[in-house]
Amino acid sequence: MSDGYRNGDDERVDLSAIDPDRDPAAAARFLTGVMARVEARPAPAALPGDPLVGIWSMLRAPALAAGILIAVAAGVAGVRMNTRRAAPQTIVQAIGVPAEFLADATPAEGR
Amino acid sequence: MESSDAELVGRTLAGDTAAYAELVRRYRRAALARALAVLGDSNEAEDVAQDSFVQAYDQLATCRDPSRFGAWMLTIAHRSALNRARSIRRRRAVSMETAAAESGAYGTAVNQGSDTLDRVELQEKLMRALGQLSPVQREVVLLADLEDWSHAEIAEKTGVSVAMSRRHLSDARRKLRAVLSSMRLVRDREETP
Repeated sequence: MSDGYRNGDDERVDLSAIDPDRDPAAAARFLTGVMARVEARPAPAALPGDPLVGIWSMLRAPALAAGILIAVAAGVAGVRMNTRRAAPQTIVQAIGVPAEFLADATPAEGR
Repeated sequence: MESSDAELVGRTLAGDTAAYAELVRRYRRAALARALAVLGDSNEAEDVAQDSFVQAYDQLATCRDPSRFGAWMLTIAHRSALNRARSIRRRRAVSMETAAAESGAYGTAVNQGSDTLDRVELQEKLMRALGQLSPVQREVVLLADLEDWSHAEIAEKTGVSVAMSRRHLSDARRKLRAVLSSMRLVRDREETP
Protein backbone atom coordinates (compact mmCIF):
# COMPACT_ATOMS: atom_id res chain seq x y z
CA MET A 1 0.00 0.00 0.00
CA SER A 2 1.55 3.29 -1.02
CA ASP A 3 1.82 5.77 1.78
CA GLY A 4 3.36 8.50 -0.29
CA TYR A 5 6.81 8.30 1.31
CA ARG A 6 10.04 7.97 -0.59
CA ASN A 7 11.50 4.46 -0.85
CA GLY A 8 14.63 5.52 1.00
CA ASP A 9 12.60 6.24 4.11
CA ASP A 10 11.91 2.54 4.49
CA GLU A 11 15.54 1.82 5.24
CA ARG A 12 16.65 1.66 8.83
CA VAL A 13 18.92 4.25 10.28
CA ASP A 14 22.01 2.71 11.85
CA LEU A 15 21.76 3.53 15.53
CA SER A 16 24.23 0.87 16.66
CA ALA A 17 26.58 3.58 17.98
CA ILE A 18 24.11 4.26 20.79
CA ASP A 19 23.21 0.63 21.39
CA PRO A 20 23.09 0.18 25.18
CA ASP A 21 24.84 -3.19 24.79
CA ARG A 22 27.84 -1.87 22.88
CA ASP A 23 29.52 -2.41 26.24
CA PRO A 24 29.16 -6.21 26.73
CA ALA A 25 29.03 -5.83 30.52
CA ALA A 26 26.24 -3.23 30.43
CA ALA A 27 23.36 -5.71 30.60
CA ALA A 28 24.79 -7.59 33.57
CA ARG A 29 25.62 -4.34 35.35
CA PHE A 30 22.08 -3.04 34.86
CA LEU A 31 20.50 -6.26 36.09
CA THR A 32 22.77 -6.43 39.12
CA GLY A 33 21.94 -2.83 39.98
CA VAL A 34 18.18 -3.43 39.82
CA MET A 35 18.17 -6.78 41.61
CA ALA A 36 20.40 -5.55 44.46
CA ARG A 37 17.76 -2.94 45.22
CA VAL A 38 14.82 -5.30 44.65
CA GLU A 39 16.19 -8.05 46.90
CA ALA A 40 16.73 -5.56 49.72
CA ARG A 41 13.01 -4.79 49.74
CA PRO A 42 10.06 -6.76 51.05
CA ALA A 43 8.12 -8.74 48.46
CA PRO A 44 5.47 -6.61 46.76
CA ALA A 45 2.32 -6.76 48.87
CA ALA A 46 -0.41 -8.67 47.14
CA LEU A 47 -3.75 -6.87 47.05
CA PRO A 48 -6.43 -8.52 49.29
CA GLY A 49 -8.14 -11.23 47.27
CA ASP A 50 -11.64 -10.48 46.17
CA PRO A 51 -13.38 -13.54 44.74
CA LEU A 52 -15.74 -11.24 42.88
CA VAL A 53 -13.06 -8.90 41.53
CA GLY A 54 -13.70 -10.06 37.98
CA ILE A 55 -17.43 -9.49 38.29
CA TRP A 56 -16.98 -6.09 39.89
CA SER A 57 -14.71 -4.96 37.11
CA MET A 58 -17.30 -6.08 34.53
CA LEU A 59 -20.05 -4.22 36.37
CA ARG A 60 -18.02 -1.07 36.84
CA ALA A 61 -18.71 0.49 33.43
CA PRO A 62 -22.49 -0.20 33.34
CA ALA A 63 -22.80 0.97 36.97
CA LEU A 64 -21.00 4.18 36.12
CA ALA A 65 -23.18 4.74 33.05
CA ALA A 66 -26.34 4.07 35.09
CA GLY A 67 -25.16 6.47 37.80
CA ILE A 68 -24.61 9.21 35.26
CA LEU A 69 -28.05 8.63 33.71
CA ILE A 70 -29.73 8.73 37.14
CA ALA A 71 -27.92 11.95 38.03
CA VAL A 72 -28.93 13.57 34.73
CA ALA A 73 -32.56 12.39 35.11
CA ALA A 74 -32.70 13.69 38.69
CA GLY A 75 -31.30 17.00 37.54
CA VAL A 76 -33.84 17.32 34.73
CA ALA A 77 -36.69 16.36 37.09
CA GLY A 78 -35.51 18.91 39.62
CA VAL A 79 -35.38 21.67 37.03
CA ARG A 80 -38.88 20.77 35.80
CA MET A 81 -40.27 20.81 39.35
CA ASN A 82 -38.78 24.21 40.03
CA THR A 83 -40.15 25.53 36.76
CA ARG A 84 -43.62 24.14 37.59
CA ARG A 85 -43.58 25.79 41.05
CA ALA A 86 -42.65 29.16 39.61
CA ALA A 87 -45.27 28.91 36.86
CA PRO A 88 -48.78 30.20 37.50
CA GLN A 89 -51.01 27.49 38.98
CA THR A 90 -54.36 28.87 37.78
CA ILE A 91 -55.75 30.95 34.92
CA VAL A 92 -56.42 33.73 37.39
CA GLN A 93 -52.78 33.81 38.38
CA ALA A 94 -51.69 33.55 34.78
CA ILE A 95 -53.67 36.58 33.55
CA GLY A 96 -53.24 38.61 36.75
CA VAL A 97 -56.87 39.36 37.70
CA PRO A 98 -56.93 42.03 40.41
CA ALA A 99 -57.71 40.65 43.83
CA GLU A 100 -60.99 42.58 44.22
CA PHE A 101 -62.55 40.59 41.35
CA LEU A 102 -61.66 37.24 42.86
CA ALA A 103 -64.52 35.00 44.02
CA ASP A 104 -63.77 35.41 47.73
CA ALA A 105 -63.67 39.21 47.47
CA THR A 106 -66.21 41.04 49.65
CA PRO A 107 -69.23 41.96 47.43
CA ALA A 108 -70.05 45.67 47.07
CA GLU A 109 -72.93 46.98 49.29
CA GLY A 110 -76.39 46.96 47.70
CA ARG A 111 -76.00 43.82 45.58
CA MET B 1 9.38 -23.07 26.96
CA GLU B 2 9.64 -19.38 27.80
CA SER B 3 7.38 -18.22 30.64
CA SER B 4 4.79 -15.59 29.82
CA ASP B 5 4.85 -12.17 31.46
CA ALA B 6 1.75 -13.10 33.47
CA GLU B 7 3.47 -16.23 34.84
CA LEU B 8 6.58 -14.27 35.77
CA VAL B 9 4.52 -11.60 37.52
CA GLY B 10 2.63 -14.27 39.44
CA ARG B 11 5.87 -15.94 40.53
CA THR B 12 7.35 -12.59 41.55
CA LEU B 13 4.33 -11.85 43.72
CA ALA B 14 4.79 -15.28 45.27
CA GLY B 15 8.33 -14.24 46.30
CA ASP B 16 10.44 -15.50 43.37
CA THR B 17 12.87 -12.65 42.61
CA ALA B 18 14.52 -14.68 39.85
CA ALA B 19 11.24 -14.36 37.95
CA TYR B 20 11.48 -10.58 38.26
CA ALA B 21 15.07 -10.69 37.00
CA GLU B 22 13.73 -12.34 33.84
CA LEU B 23 11.20 -9.52 33.41
CA VAL B 24 14.01 -6.98 33.82
CA ARG B 25 16.07 -8.75 31.14
CA ARG B 26 13.07 -8.78 28.82
CA TYR B 27 12.22 -5.10 29.04
CA ARG B 28 15.56 -3.49 29.94
CA ARG B 29 16.37 -2.29 26.42
CA ALA B 30 12.84 -1.01 25.79
CA ALA B 31 12.84 0.90 29.09
CA LEU B 32 16.23 2.38 28.22
CA ALA B 33 14.99 3.40 24.76
CA ARG B 34 11.88 5.01 26.23
CA ALA B 35 13.89 6.94 28.81
CA LEU B 36 16.54 7.92 26.26
CA ALA B 37 13.86 9.26 23.92
CA VAL B 38 12.74 11.69 26.63
CA LEU B 39 16.06 12.53 28.26
CA GLY B 40 18.60 12.36 25.43
CA ASP B 41 21.30 11.36 27.89
CA SER B 42 22.27 7.71 28.22
CA ASN B 43 23.52 8.07 31.82
CA GLU B 44 20.28 9.69 32.96
CA ALA B 45 18.28 7.16 30.91
CA GLU B 46 20.03 4.25 32.61
CA ASP B 47 19.40 5.77 36.02
CA VAL B 48 15.73 6.34 35.29
CA ALA B 49 15.29 2.88 33.76
CA GLN B 50 16.74 1.23 36.86
CA ASP B 51 14.57 3.36 39.17
CA SER B 52 11.53 2.45 37.07
CA PHE B 53 12.10 -1.28 37.44
CA VAL B 54 12.43 -0.89 41.21
CA GLN B 55 9.27 1.21 41.29
CA ALA B 56 7.45 -1.37 39.15
CA TYR B 57 8.51 -4.09 41.59
CA ASP B 58 7.10 -2.13 44.54
CA GLN B 59 3.82 -1.55 42.70
CA LEU B 60 3.61 -4.94 41.01
CA ALA B 61 0.41 -5.91 42.79
CA THR B 62 -1.35 -2.95 41.16
CA CYS B 63 -0.58 -4.23 37.63
CA ARG B 64 -4.17 -5.09 36.67
CA ASP B 65 -3.29 -7.17 33.64
CA PRO B 66 -0.03 -9.07 34.24
CA SER B 67 -0.03 -10.23 30.61
CA ARG B 68 0.54 -6.57 29.70
CA PHE B 69 3.37 -6.06 32.16
CA GLY B 70 5.57 -4.67 29.36
CA ALA B 71 3.20 -1.85 28.44
CA TRP B 72 2.56 -1.08 32.12
CA MET B 73 6.27 -1.04 32.93
CA LEU B 74 7.10 1.19 29.95
CA THR B 75 4.43 3.68 31.08
CA ILE B 76 6.22 3.88 34.45
CA ALA B 77 9.55 4.39 32.66
CA HIS B 78 8.08 7.11 30.45
CA ARG B 79 6.52 8.95 33.38
CA SER B 80 9.73 8.70 35.40
CA ALA B 81 11.72 10.05 32.49
CA LEU B 82 9.35 13.00 32.11
CA ASN B 83 9.67 13.77 35.84
CA ARG B 84 13.45 13.55 35.62
CA ALA B 85 13.48 15.80 32.54
CA ARG B 86 11.41 18.37 34.41
CA SER B 87 13.73 18.39 37.38
CA ILE B 88 16.77 18.63 35.09
CA ARG B 89 15.19 21.60 33.33
CA ARG B 90 14.50 23.28 36.65
CA ARG B 91 18.11 22.76 37.65
CA ARG B 92 19.50 24.03 34.40
CA ALA B 93 16.76 26.64 33.85
CA VAL B 94 16.84 26.01 30.13
CA SER B 95 14.91 23.46 28.01
CA MET B 96 16.87 20.62 26.43
CA GLU B 97 15.57 21.41 22.99
CA THR B 98 16.54 25.05 23.40
CA ALA B 99 20.01 24.01 24.53
CA ALA B 100 20.30 21.69 21.56
CA ALA B 101 19.16 24.40 19.17
CA GLU B 102 21.57 26.92 20.60
CA SER B 103 24.64 24.88 21.26
CA GLY B 104 24.11 21.35 19.94
CA ALA B 105 24.43 20.12 23.51
CA TYR B 106 21.62 17.51 23.35
CA GLY B 107 23.01 14.12 24.13
CA THR B 108 26.64 15.09 24.57
CA ALA B 109 26.68 13.25 27.89
CA VAL B 110 27.01 9.76 26.46
CA ASN B 111 28.19 6.76 28.40
CA GLN B 112 31.71 6.63 27.06
CA GLY B 113 32.96 3.47 28.78
CA SER B 114 35.86 2.17 26.79
CA ASP B 115 34.71 3.73 23.48
CA THR B 116 37.21 5.20 21.05
CA LEU B 117 37.14 8.89 20.19
CA ASP B 118 35.51 8.21 16.79
CA ARG B 119 32.71 6.22 18.36
CA VAL B 120 32.14 8.89 21.00
CA GLU B 121 31.94 11.49 18.24
CA LEU B 122 29.45 9.34 16.32
CA GLN B 123 27.37 8.82 19.45
CA GLU B 124 27.26 12.55 20.09
CA LYS B 125 26.26 13.25 16.48
CA LEU B 126 23.52 10.65 16.62
CA MET B 127 22.19 12.02 19.88
CA ARG B 128 22.28 15.58 18.50
CA ALA B 129 20.41 14.38 15.42
CA LEU B 130 17.87 12.59 17.60
CA GLY B 131 17.42 15.84 19.48
CA GLN B 132 15.98 17.36 16.30
CA LEU B 133 13.08 14.91 16.39
CA SER B 134 9.89 15.19 18.38
CA PRO B 135 9.81 12.98 21.51
CA VAL B 136 7.40 10.52 19.92
CA GLN B 137 9.50 10.29 16.72
CA ARG B 138 12.58 9.65 18.85
CA GLU B 139 10.81 6.96 20.76
CA VAL B 140 9.47 5.20 17.66
CA VAL B 141 12.78 5.27 15.79
CA LEU B 142 14.67 3.98 18.84
CA LEU B 143 12.20 1.15 19.36
CA ALA B 144 12.06 0.25 15.65
CA ASP B 145 15.65 0.72 14.50
CA LEU B 146 17.51 -0.01 17.71
CA GLU B 147 15.20 -2.55 19.38
CA ASP B 148 13.82 -4.07 16.18
CA TRP B 149 10.22 -3.79 17.34
CA SER B 150 7.39 -4.19 14.88
CA HIS B 151 4.80 -1.44 14.53
CA ALA B 152 2.28 -3.72 16.24
CA GLU B 153 4.58 -4.05 19.26
CA ILE B 154 5.23 -0.32 19.35
CA ALA B 155 1.48 0.34 19.18
CA GLU B 156 0.75 -2.16 21.94
CA LYS B 157 3.42 -0.93 24.32
CA THR B 158 3.32 2.83 23.77
CA GLY B 159 -0.30 3.60 22.88
CA VAL B 160 0.66 5.05 19.47
CA SER B 161 -1.49 3.56 16.67
CA VAL B 162 0.15 1.33 14.06
CA ALA B 163 -0.55 3.91 11.34
CA MET B 164 0.99 6.73 13.36
CA SER B 165 3.95 4.53 14.28
CA ARG B 166 4.67 4.01 10.56
CA ARG B 167 4.28 7.72 9.92
CA HIS B 168 6.51 8.75 12.82
CA LEU B 169 9.16 6.22 11.82
CA SER B 170 9.22 7.39 8.23
CA ASP B 171 9.41 11.04 9.27
CA ALA B 172 12.08 10.31 11.87
CA ARG B 173 14.29 8.41 9.44
CA ARG B 174 14.00 11.17 6.85
CA LYS B 175 14.89 13.87 9.37
CA LEU B 176 17.78 11.88 10.84
CA ARG B 177 19.29 11.31 7.40
CA ALA B 178 18.94 14.97 6.55
CA VAL B 179 20.50 16.12 9.82
CA LEU B 180 23.33 13.57 9.69
CA SER B 181 24.02 14.51 6.06
CA SER B 182 24.24 18.17 6.94
CA MET B 183 26.62 17.34 9.81
CA ARG B 184 28.84 15.43 7.39
CA LEU B 185 28.74 18.35 4.93
CA VAL B 186 29.72 20.77 7.67
CA ARG B 187 32.54 18.46 8.77
CA ASP B 188 33.73 18.01 5.15
CA ARG B 189 33.77 21.78 4.61
CA GLU B 190 35.69 22.31 7.83
CA GLU B 191 38.25 19.69 6.82
CA THR B 192 38.66 20.95 3.27
CA PRO B 193 41.52 23.45 3.12
